[in-house]
Amino acid sequence: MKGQVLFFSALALILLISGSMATVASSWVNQDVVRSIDLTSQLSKSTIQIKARALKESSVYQLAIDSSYHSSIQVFDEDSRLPLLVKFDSISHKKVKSEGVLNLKVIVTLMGQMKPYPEHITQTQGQLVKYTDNHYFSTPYKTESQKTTVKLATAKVESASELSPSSVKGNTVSYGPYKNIEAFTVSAMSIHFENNAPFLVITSLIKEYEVSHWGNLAVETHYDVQHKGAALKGAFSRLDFQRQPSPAHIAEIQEIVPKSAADFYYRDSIGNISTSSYTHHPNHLTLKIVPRFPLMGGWKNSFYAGFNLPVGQFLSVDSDTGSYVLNVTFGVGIDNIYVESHTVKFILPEGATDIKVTAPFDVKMSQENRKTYLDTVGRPVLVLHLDHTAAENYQYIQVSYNLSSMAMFHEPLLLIGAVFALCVLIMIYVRFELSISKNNIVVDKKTN
Amino acid sequence: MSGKTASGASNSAGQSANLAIASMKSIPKENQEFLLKVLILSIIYVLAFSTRLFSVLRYESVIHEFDPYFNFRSTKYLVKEGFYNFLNWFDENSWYPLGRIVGGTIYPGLMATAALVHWVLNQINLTVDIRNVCVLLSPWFASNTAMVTYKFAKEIKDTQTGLVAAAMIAIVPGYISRSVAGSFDNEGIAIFALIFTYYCWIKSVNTGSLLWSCVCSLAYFYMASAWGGYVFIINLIPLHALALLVTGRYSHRLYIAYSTLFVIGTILSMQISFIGFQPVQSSEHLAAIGIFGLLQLFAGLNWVKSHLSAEGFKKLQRLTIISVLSVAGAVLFVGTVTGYISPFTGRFYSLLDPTYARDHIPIIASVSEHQPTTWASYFFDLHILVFLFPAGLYFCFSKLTDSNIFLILYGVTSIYFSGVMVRLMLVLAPVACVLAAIAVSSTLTTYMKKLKSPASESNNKESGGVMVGVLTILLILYAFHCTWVTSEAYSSPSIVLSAKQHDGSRVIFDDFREAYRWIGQNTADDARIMSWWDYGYQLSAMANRTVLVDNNTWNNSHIAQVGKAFASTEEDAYKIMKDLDVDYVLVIFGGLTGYSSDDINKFLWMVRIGGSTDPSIMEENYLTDRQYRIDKGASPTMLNSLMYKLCYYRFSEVHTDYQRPAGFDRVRNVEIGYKGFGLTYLEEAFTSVHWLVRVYKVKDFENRA
Repeated sequence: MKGQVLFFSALALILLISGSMATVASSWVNQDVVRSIDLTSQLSKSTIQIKARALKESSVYQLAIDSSYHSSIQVFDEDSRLPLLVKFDSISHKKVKSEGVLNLKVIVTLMGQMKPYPEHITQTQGQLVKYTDNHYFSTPYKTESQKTTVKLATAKVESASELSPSSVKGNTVSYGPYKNIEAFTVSAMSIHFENNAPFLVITSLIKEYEVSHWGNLAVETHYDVQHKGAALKGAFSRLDFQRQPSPAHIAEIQEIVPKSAADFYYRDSIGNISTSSYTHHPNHLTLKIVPRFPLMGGWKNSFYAGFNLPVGQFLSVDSDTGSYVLNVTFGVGIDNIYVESHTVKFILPEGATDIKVTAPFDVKMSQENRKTYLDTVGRPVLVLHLDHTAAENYQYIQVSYNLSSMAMFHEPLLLIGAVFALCVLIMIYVRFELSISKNNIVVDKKTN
Repeated sequence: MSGKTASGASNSAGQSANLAIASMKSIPKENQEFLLKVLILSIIYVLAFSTRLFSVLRYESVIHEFDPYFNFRSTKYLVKEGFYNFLNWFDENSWYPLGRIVGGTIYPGLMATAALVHWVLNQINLTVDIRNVCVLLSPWFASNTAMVTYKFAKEIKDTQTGLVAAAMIAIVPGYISRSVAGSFDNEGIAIFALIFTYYCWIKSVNTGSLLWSCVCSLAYFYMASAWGGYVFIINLIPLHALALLVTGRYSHRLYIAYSTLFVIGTILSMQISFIGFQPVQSSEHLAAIGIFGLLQLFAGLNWVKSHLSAEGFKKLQRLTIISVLSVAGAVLFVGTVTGYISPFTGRFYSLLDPTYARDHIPIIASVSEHQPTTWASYFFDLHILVFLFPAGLYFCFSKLTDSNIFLILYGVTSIYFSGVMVRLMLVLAPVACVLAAIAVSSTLTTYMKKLKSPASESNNKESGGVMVGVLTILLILYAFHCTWVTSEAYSSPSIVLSAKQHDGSRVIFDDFREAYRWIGQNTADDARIMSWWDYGYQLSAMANRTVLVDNNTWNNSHIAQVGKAFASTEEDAYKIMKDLDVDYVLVIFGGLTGYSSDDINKFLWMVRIGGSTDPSIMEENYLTDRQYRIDKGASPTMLNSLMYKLCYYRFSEVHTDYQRPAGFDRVRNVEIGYKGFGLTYLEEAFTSVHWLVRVYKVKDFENRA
C-alpha cells in the first residue's frame, strides 16, 4: 500500500499559519462534524458542517488539508450565513468566548484527487476511477463525533475501503459515526467506482480583458485543454464512435458568459472553428464550444474564444477617490472545471496609473507593457496568476486605476495628426523641385 | 459581398467621373484630367484589392491550398528567427530522413516582402498578425500591379490606354486565380515584379537613360528573388533586343539599356542563393549572354566601320563573325560535354516540348497545374480579351515602335507558353490586358471622334454610336464575367470545403483541419507522418510534424518510395514504412462524402511514380482490361494494396445511400470490391467526422521474447 504510506507522510506537512501548534491544538474541540463528499464530477466537493466548542477565547479556527492536495476552500458562518475570510486554511471569524459554540459550513473542493484506474481503457469501456481521502475529518482539533457520506457518480462500485461502521448502498458510501477521534488522525479511504463525468482539465488558461474607454470591453480566453481521465488504449474508430459514442469522451464545453456579450469568435492557431453556438438564458448566455475533434482519454487540444462586452456595465467610477473600478470575473464559467495554471490579464488604457486589485483570494501579481494599435508608450497590462483553481474561483474581482480624462482623446488626436502630416508631406512633395537642371531629358522615341 | 458589388464599383467609376466633370468646369483642363486620372486610378486600386476578398468574407482569413502553406510557414520562421537564420534554415521536419535546405532551395522574395511589411507595420505599433499580412499580400500586390500596368501601357501608347489596361488587369480572372486573398504564393508578387521590369525596360529603351536601366535591373532582381519565371524576362528581353537589331532599329539607347540590365541584373540575380551561378552556367540563360556579346560586337563593328574603308570593313566583318561564331560554338560544345553548362531542366524542357513530361517525368506530368490549357479555359480566364488580343496586335503592327515590337513579342511568346502549361496563363493575362486596352482605346478614340462630328457627315454618327455601344456592352459583360468567375471558381480556400444541401443551407467540411489539428495535438512531437506529397506542406504547416515527402518535389526517388509503399500489400508496405521510420499514415478518402480529388483517384499516379524507380510495380497489375476499378471486377493487386485497405477499412459497414448496398463509394459510384478485411500492421488512429481524412498508426514490431 504505497499510496497509504505517502498519504501519512504528506499529512505531516499540514499547513498551519498564525499561532503555534500548542495554542492551536488546545483552543477548540469539534463537537460534531457531518461531512458529505460529492464525487459525481471530476472534482471532489465536500460540504462539512462543523459544530465546534471553544476551549478558550479565540478568533481563529483552523483546518488541516493534506499538502499534496490541490484544493479550493470556502467557509460560511452558519449563524449569519456570511462567507468568512480564508487565509492559508485558517479562518477568521467573530470572537468566540470560552465554551462558546461556532457553527461553520466549509466547502472544500479537491482537484485531481480522483485518479483513473485502470489508466488506459478502450473506446467502448466505461471509466473507473479511484478516490483517496481520509476516513476521518482531518483537523488539528479533537473531534467528539463525526460522520461522512460519499455520493458517487454511479452505483457501480468496484471496491470501497471499510472502517466499521461503514456501508455501501447504491451510489452512496457512508462512514461513521466515529466517536472521540484525536487530532490529526488519518485512516486511508479509497473508493474505486465508475465515473464517466468529463475529466476536462484546462492545463493552461489565459483570460484577457482589454478595456477601452470608448465603450468596449474585449474578452479573450485561451484554453489548453486535456481529457485527464483514463487514456484511450488502441484504435479510435470513427465508425464505432458514430454508432455509439464512447462513455467517457468530451464532445463539447459549455461556458457561461455575461448576457450582454456579443461578436463571438472561436479559433485556434490554424483558423476558425465553425462549430460553436450560444443560447440565451434569463441571466446569462451559454456558449457551446465544440472542439474540432471529440476528446478521448488523454487527448489534448488548444483554442481561443472571445467576445465583446459593453464596458459601461463593468466599469464604474469610485466616487471617493475618482478612480475607475473594473468589476469582472476571475475564472471561467465552466461547470466542474479544473484549471491547472490560471492567468488573467487586464489590458488597461494607455496612461493608466495606480493600478490596484481587490480579490477574495490571494493571487500572484505582475505587470507588463503591450504596444498595439494607436499606442505610443504602450498600455499597462496587469497579470494575475493562480495555480490549481476550480469552478469555485468564478468570482468577481475588482481592478482600480486612475486615468486622466484627456487620455481618451489620445487616439483620435493621433489619427488626425497622422492624416494631417500626410497632407503636409504631399503638399511639400508637390512643390519640391527634385531635378538638378531645369530642362527635362529629351525623350526621343523613334516614331510615335 | 455579392457578384454585384465589385462590378457596381466599376460602374460607379464612370458615374462619379461624370459628376466630377460637371463640377469641374471652372478648373483648367490639365488639372481636370489629372484629377480624373487620380480618381480612376484610386478606384481601380480599391477595386483590384476588394474583388479578391470573396474568400475572406465567405470563409475566413486563411491561407489557401498547398504551396502557400509552405510560404506561410517559412515566413513565420523568417519573422521569428531573422533573415540570416532563414537563409541558413535546414528543415529537418520535411523529407525525412533527408531534410531540406530551405534557404538554398527557395526564392525568398515573397517571404522577405511579407516579413518586411509585417515589420514596418509593427514598428508603427500596428500589431497585425503575420497570417493576415500573408493573406492580404497578394491582393495588395494586385493593386500595385494595376498601377504599374497603367504606367506600362502609358509608356507604350498613351494615358487612356493605360487607364483601360489598369482597369482590365484589376479584374482579369487569369491573374485573380493566383492572387486572391489567402493565395500567398510567389506568383502573387511576381506578376507585379514582371510588369514593373518590363515597364522599366521599355522606359530605358525609349530614353536610353542609365537611371532607368538600373531601376530595371533592380526590378529584375526583385523578380528573380520571387519566382522562377524570371527566366522568361531574361529570355524575352534579349529576344526584343535581337528583334530590334534585326529590324535595323539598333540604337545607342538599346545598347545602354541592354548592357546595363544584363550586367547589373545578372550580378544581382546571382545573389539569390537558389539561383547562384545559373545565369552563367545554365542553358536557359545562354540567349542573354549571346545577345550581350552580339550587341558588343555590333557596337564595336559600327565604331570600326567609321574608321575603315568599305572593302576593309567587309573583310573584317567576315573574319570577326566567323571567329566569334566558332569560338562561341567551341565554348558551348566543351561546356556541355564537360557538364559545366547544365542542360535544360525537366520543367524547362516540358515548356519547349509539351509531350516531354508526359513521356519521361511522371512527377511533373502529375501536377494538375502543369497540364496543357484547354480552349475553354482561355475564354474562362480572359473572356473578351481573347478577341481583343489579336485586335491589339493589329494596332501594334500598324504602327511599329520599339515598345510595340516588345509588346508583340511578349504577347506571342506568352500565348505559346500559356498553351503548354495552364498555370502560365498568369503570364499571358497582363499582356492580354495591355493589348486589349490598346485595341479598346484605339477603337474608342476613333469612333468617339465620329460620334462628336457634325451630323451632316453621312453615317458617321451611326457607326460611331454602334461601335461605342458594342464596346461598352462588351466591357460591362467582361466586368460581370470576371466577378462571377472570381466568386465561383477562384475563391475557395480548398482547405475548407463547403457544399449546398437540398434545402439550400451550407455545410462546411472542415475535416482537413480537424485531422491536422488532431495530429498536431495528439501525436508525439517527433512523429513522422507518411502521406502522398500533396499534403506535405499542409501537414508540416498545420500539424507541425515531420513528413516524408512534400510539394517541393525535389527528390523523385523518395516520392517513389512512398508511392511504392501505398501500392504494395500491407506486409510489404510495413517493411518500407519501418525502414522509413514512419509512425502514422494519412490518406484522404472521399468515398463517404463524394469528394473527388481523393487519394484513390490519385492512386494511379502513385503507382506510376512508384514504378518509375521499381519496375516490379506495374500499372497494368492495378487495372482490369485497361480500366481503373475498385469494385468486384478490380484486380487483386489493387484490392490488396495498402491504399485500398487504408481508404476502405471498415467502410463496408457503412450505408452511404438508401437503396444502395453497404460500402457504396459515392465518388466512383460503385460498391467496393473487397469487404470486411482487417489490418495487421496498422491500426486506425483517427478518422475525421466526414471520413475525409483517415490516419493510421504503424504498429511496433512484435515482441520477440
